[in-house]
Amino acid sequence: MARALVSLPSASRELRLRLAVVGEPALVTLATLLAHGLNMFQYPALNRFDDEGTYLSQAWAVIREHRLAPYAYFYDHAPAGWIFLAVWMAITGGPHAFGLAADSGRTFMLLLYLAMTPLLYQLARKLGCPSWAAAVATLLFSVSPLAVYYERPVLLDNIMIFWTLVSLDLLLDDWGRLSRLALSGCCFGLAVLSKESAAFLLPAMIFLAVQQRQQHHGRFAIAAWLLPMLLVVSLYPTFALLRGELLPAGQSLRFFIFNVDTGPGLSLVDALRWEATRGGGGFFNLGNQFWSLVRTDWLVKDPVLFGGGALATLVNLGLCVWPKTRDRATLGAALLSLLPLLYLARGGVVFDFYVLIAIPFLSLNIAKLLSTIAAHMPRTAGSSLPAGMTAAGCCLLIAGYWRGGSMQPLYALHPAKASRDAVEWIKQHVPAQSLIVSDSDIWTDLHEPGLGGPSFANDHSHWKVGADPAIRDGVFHDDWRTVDYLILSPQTKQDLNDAHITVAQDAFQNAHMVQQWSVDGSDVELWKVDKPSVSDAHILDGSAAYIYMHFDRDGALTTTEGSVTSESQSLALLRAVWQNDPQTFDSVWGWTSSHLLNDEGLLSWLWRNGAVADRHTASDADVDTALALLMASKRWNRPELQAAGTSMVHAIWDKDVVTAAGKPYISGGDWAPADAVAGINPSYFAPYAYRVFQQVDPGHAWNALIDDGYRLLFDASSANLGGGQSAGLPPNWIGLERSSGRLVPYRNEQGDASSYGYDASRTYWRVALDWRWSADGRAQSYLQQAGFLRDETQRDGAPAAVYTHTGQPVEKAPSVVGDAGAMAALLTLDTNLANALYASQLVATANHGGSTVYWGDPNDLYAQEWGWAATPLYSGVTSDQWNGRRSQEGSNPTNSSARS
Amino acid sequence: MSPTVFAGPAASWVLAVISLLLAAQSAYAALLLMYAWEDRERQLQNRAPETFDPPRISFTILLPARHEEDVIKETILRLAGLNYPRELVEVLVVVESGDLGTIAEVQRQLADLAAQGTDNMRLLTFSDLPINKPHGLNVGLAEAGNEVVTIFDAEDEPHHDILQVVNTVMLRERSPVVQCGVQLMNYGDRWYSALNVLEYFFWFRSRMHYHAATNMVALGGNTVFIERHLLDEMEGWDSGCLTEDADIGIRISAAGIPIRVLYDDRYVTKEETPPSARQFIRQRTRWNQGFLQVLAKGDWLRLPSWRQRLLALYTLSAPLMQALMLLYIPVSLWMMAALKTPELIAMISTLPLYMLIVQLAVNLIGLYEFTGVHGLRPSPWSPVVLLLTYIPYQWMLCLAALRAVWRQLRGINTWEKTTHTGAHRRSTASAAVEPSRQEVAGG
Repeated sequence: MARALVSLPSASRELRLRLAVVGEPALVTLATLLAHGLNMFQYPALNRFDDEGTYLSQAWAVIREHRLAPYAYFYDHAPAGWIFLAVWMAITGGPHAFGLAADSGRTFMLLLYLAMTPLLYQLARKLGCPSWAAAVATLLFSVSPLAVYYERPVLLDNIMIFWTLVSLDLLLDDWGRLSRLALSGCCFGLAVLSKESAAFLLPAMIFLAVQQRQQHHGRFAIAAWLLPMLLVVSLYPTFALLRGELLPAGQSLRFFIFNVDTGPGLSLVDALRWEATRGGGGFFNLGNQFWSLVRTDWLVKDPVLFGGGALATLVNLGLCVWPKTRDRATLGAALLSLLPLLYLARGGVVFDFYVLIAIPFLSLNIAKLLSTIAAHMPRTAGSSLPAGMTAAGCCLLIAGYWRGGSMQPLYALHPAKASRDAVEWIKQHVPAQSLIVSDSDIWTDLHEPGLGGPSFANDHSHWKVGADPAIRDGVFHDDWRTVDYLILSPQTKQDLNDAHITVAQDAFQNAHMVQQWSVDGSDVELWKVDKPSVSDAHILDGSAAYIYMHFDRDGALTTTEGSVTSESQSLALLRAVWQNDPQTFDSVWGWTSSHLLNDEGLLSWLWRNGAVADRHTASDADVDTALALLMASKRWNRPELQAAGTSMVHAIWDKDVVTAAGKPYISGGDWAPADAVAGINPSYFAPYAYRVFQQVDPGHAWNALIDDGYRLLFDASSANLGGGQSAGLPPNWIGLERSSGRLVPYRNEQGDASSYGYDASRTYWRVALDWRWSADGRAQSYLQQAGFLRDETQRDGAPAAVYTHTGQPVEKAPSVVGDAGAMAALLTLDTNLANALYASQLVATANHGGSTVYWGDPNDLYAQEWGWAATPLYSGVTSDQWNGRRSQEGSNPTNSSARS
Repeated sequence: MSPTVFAGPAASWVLAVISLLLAAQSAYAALLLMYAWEDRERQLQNRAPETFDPPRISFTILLPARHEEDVIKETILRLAGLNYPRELVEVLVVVESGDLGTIAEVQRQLADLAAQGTDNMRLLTFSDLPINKPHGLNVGLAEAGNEVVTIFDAEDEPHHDILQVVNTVMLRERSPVVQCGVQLMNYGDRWYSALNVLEYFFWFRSRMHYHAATNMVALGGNTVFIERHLLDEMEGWDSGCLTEDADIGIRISAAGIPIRVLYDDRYVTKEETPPSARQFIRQRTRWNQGFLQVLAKGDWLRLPSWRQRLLALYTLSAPLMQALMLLYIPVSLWMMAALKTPELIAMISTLPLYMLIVQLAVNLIGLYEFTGVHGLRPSPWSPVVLLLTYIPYQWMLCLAALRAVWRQLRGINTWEKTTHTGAHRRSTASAAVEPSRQEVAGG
């Protein structure tokens, strides 16, 4: 071009010169903007490259969680690439600034390539290409379908190429300025820290650095490039060293010097060693991944750039062997292209997008070869030939791409729309607390609040569910039943099988598809895991089986200390009815009626060491037993049980009900009504049962017992029982002044019994059951008053076992009965939270042994009873067998919300 | 002490900010070291003219001396042998009248020369206080009869063509002030010699050019050529200042007069490193204290642009920064190892260490650059010695800096003179005489 310009009329020469300097790069940059930018949000599909979602999520972790990855960082790659991406997200106002996170990332890629286009042009010029050839190189780099396809997605390789080109441009500084050399070294260091594969370009870079020596550099020449490069690269091992993760576990320097145990697991050296030994394949093995990608992808997408570029590289290299045509710039260009090709062809694990490292240099070699040819052509057609030929050649090239058909999809197809629609739908329809296994493509969008919905903090990448113990065991408890949803693509399904991600695989086996989004070959499916039908039944059966195996002595539920309580017996009877187990029922009732049934027709509450230890009753046990008898009589058509139940109902009214200020209340037991201040246990209040009793005993005012009971419950919960402001929790016990009907704090052997604990938690379970059976508005409003428990659960994941009446935690650790009570309340108040609580506290903490299930202390009968009781309430098995109804909100609330 | 005591976020951020500041200053210092190697243009600035213009400028050479019996004769001889027309050169040896030994040596040498026909040299004595170099220079200046005044020290070994070089440069470039290179040569003598030599090398060859480009030059003590009328306008040197050279440089800069810096390896004035660490620390203390004095005098505030003032501030307060940096590095190492700092802050706190590595590397390469241009062959152990002594050397600088601050605060303003043994004049320099303490009350 320089020679061509000389012959132009001098008036327009300066203009043409300026055009050549500014015009051509500007033109090619415009081409980049169009070729790269048009339709870039829509193609390729977001789930096409696993890495794209992964790096977006890691950039997200940098800005949102101030760490390098949302999961344990394991030195898979140096972090500079996604730190740049994070900086971009941070300055543009978050990952959703351009739509999806991928849109933000892809915009960043576009900007990088807009910057790279003039850089590559400059590079070609500095390596001796005339401006038309430089334009050809950049055009190939910008519009080749092969290039555009891989340049659009958010890949570390793209960021690495950017720094490599910046480094090259600085290295080939016209003035040989030392500061530019040093900056170039820093930039190449950043390239290596963006993606380690840049290191394979190092020999070519050093070759060029050697060529760039100048007299004024003195002995600083190559060192000025090499030292900054090494220092920047060394930030990575320094980082690992600071984290105590440089050396493999057990050899940690930190451990030796400071005796800080870093625990087993991750180290940079391990990661590099693993990377180095990954796969074989062999260089000349034509079946290795490189050659298969060449055949099926790279050559197919663009034979000109890939085939022509590789050929041009070899020819350029050949020219340099021959002394007459030897030229340092040509050798430099050839090396820059040859090294990546050798790196790719080495065998081992090669992904399709690895070709990115070669693309700019393949283009460069084509330009270099073309300019060599043009320089040796006889100049018969005049000096302006290259310009015209360039334009014609470019048109021809693009026409060729179009005819080849590899260009159209880039601009016509919208496969990313599938993920886009999926995100939008999921954000609006799926409960935010759901435990989700998804592909990484929409991970960031789900975790970042916005796009019409909240943050889905419990969404996890399927790879992590498979491989990260903290996720697989810590979050999913290696149990598919913890999974609520799966968001799958065909590739993800394949991954589940290939990588044996059993948790997700099993969940998928037990799931049904809720929605599917299919656009231009990209598929995203939302699957809901059907847990209750299988997992709840498993828990119910397993838990019941455990209780009988571990505690049953001929129909007596005996604790390890040898005690039997009427409460345990009554719950065993209810379980047997609900689980349709007449044998157990008869066994338990047989023992109970012969050992606990006293002359009042009620049950003595405590039996120990072969005899009744306390003949008084506990009214909840009497009520539950009577209810169980009545329901059993209906369920198994046994009139004798109805008679026994009915007589017990009469006895309850006579002995367990206390009258205060003319109103009936259920008392703590037959010992209470005689006291001036009657002991009331709110958690004994069982309105669902009284409704049945009213039917078999119309002579007593059972309905009034419900009305007054509810009123007492509301009052007891809101009463200021001697402390400060009530947290709205029911007390374990409360005193009722029989004369006035006034509520007072109740003291028993343990002192003040106003706190909310192992007794009171059951209140919610009973009220929730009443809500299920009767749809009584008072039940609903009482449950909705449990805001305190909701807040506690939201904050800590589970409520404390014991609170004071004012809401101060007394026993921080959660208890099974406390979880059961809170879950019962939350099922009405906040179903998502109830699901989360159920999954995390009852499903996740359940210990599975053979066919049995237990929670916490295996000898704690009470915990097993209430762990069991929580489950049927959750899954709707606690049906009203007397009236033959299923409960009115019978199905799992997560089911119903998913169907909405 | 439990490490967690300091593990609070505030401590971490303080650590980060200090680290960033130190790293930035260190990077800037590295830039100054490398300034002359940046491009060809800067390289050419250090190239003396290959041909000399006919001698036209007349020079007055001031040679202040005190207790220099050992070396003064040779210096006078060397000045007599300068390749420049004798009628255009005047040499004024200035000695305090009580320094009889030196006076005797000078008189004997001048008599010998006069006998051979060299009559452009005179001895000046003075008896009033203070007895120090700037006072001597002022005495000489009063007697100086030529257009350009220059200074050489008693132990200097100026190149015999130096006046030809300066004459040519001043004529061709119309430079009123020229600072030529001064170079310590005996890099292998003492453990600190190599680093001391490199300091000179980088200072005169590189950093001074940056100062000249910014028009803020703290001049060197000798081989500096100043038009006489300028010195008169400046009313000579400040006899109360320990670094009168830096002081007058800043005053000339403040007056907006450009200063030409020229370090051509062939024409440098050769000097020697102080003979012992003790002497080294004294000399450095004097310089540091002098810089602090100049800082306190505030002439630099009259520099026209903020960039010049900033550079002056940076240069004059460098001893303080250096002290800080060296105190900080062990602290940062300990913190990195023992503290549970956030990763980002831990990374930031390693940056000064990185910059230290850069400085080490620059010095190491600089050693070969220095020996290369002067045709010397460093021993294979030289780089090892350099690496091993780098930190102790920095501690020595730090000690001198702390000492200077201490003396300045206490108002101790005595001239701690450096002993000269002529080590740079011997091919095998070894027998350094342990100097006696020579302090002279000044001010």
